[in-house]
Amino acid sequence: MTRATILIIDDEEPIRALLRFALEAAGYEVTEAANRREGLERYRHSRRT
Amino acid sequence: MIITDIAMPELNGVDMLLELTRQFLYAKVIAISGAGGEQNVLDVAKLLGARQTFQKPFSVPQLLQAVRYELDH
Repeated sequence: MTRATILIIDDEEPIRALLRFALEAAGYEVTEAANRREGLERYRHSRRT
Repeated sequence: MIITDIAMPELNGVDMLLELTRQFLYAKVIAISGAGGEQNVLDVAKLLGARQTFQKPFSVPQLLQAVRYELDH
């Protein structure tokens, strides 16, 4: 079973860190982006892999 | 799945949501807005396709529950 990947887009680093910590502890794969452009790029990339 | 802040100062989160849902029709999006009476933004987010919405400060257990639910449905 593949783990679900969750993309977090938030400009506040502490919020991203909190979400990453909680989601990884729950067993999810996490990627982060600080803005829209980066977020869209990462999401596109994650769907190719 | 995408968890995104839609009230970031340097960009319009609603635009971003539109772009996300337009480009990735099946993306499951959970939208978060900053603290301070931005319920309208969250209502708009729902209309634009966000599965669930949260306002900062949000409860981490509640958010995890939402993630679990949306991944299962």
